[in-house]
Amino acid sequence: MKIIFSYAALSALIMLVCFTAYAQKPEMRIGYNFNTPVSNSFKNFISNTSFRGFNGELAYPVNNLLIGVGVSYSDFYQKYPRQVVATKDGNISAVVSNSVQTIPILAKATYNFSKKGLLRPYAALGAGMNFVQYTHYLGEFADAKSTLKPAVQGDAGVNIFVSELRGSGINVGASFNYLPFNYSETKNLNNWGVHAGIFFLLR
Amino acid sequence: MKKKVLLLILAVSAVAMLFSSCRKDPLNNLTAEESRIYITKKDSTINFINFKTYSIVDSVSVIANNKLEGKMASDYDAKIIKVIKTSMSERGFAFIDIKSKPDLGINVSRITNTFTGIISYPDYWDYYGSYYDPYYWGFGGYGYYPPSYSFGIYKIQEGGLSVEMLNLKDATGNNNKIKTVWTALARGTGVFNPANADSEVKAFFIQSPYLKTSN
Repeated sequence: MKIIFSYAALSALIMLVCFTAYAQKPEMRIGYNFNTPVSNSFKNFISNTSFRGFNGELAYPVNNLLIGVGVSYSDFYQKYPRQVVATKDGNISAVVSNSVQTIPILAKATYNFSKKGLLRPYAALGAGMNFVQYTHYLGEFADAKSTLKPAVQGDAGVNIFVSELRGSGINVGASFNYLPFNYSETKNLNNWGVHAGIFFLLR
Repeated sequence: MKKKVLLLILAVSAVAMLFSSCRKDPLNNLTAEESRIYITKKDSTINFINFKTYSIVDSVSVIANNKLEGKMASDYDAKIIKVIKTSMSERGFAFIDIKSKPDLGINVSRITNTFTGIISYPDYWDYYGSYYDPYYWGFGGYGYYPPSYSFGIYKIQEGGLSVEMLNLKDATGNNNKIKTVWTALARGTGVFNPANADSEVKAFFIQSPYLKTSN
């Protein structure tokens, strides 16, 4: 599985580098996103929706495709009231706080279903690596792990053109993030989210 | 082309680091009370019903940087000892003088580590025998038998209140070793504040319902 992810990420990066050499007028996207855990494994650790999210993307047009790189950030956090947890030989009483930050850095390919009109739907697929910061607090004492894991993202939405001439407008969409992870009881950080932002052409 | 790729990687890394700094810090969302943790462990082979009496030290061992600095009886120390006595009484144990050969002995320690770096609790247990005087409990020449369990995964940089319950009743039968049958540890912000002494000891006992005997 890791090999597949690595090849996918590498292929996408090579495509990006090749297209970068001659493509024109790259498109920039920046926006806000909120994401919510979907897997039970992740929900058992944090079930709260993350409202602290940002994303950015730089892409080059190639026919009906946009090829580029995207990065997003989501900060998941949940605090649980004091609880007594049974251990092998005894008990621990603690306020438990869980914190996860995901930063998928992806090579992305976006297909635009239309080249005309104010509303232009699209679908995108991304693959790359996810920088994860995982922290499990018992009171003020942390068990932390930072790691790099594979990431795959499916994204769909619509671009609302405000200025067709300048190639700028508003973007809204939803994405699913497949984020493998394996530490302690948390087996993955899969989540889906909604994002909104602006896009414009760089000149 | 190499330059563009390098710039792209640098830009993405910079953005990732920028995003990372936007993290909500869980520690800023904790009160001092919420920051504290209480860990209790017991010897699973022991049934406390078999113990009736206990005695407790009259001062607290101050252990700094893995060395016994001395015994103290500050306001905090006195409160801790007093609340332990109250809690033990509520669970049916009778306090008696050391000379009357109690079934259980209770050691109380304040552990502080001021040097830079991180140590783990197994280090504390490594020095265990040198912190306490078996003569105090009337077992001169005996050794201590630290628990096989430890607080191993919890690394400490600062201080903690530690309470250990010793099996004096069976010391001779345990090859002249005083076995530790129950340990409790409190750590976190304000752990040595006298105002918190009551809640700390109560937390130890609440999560140790097995710590009781019959009269």
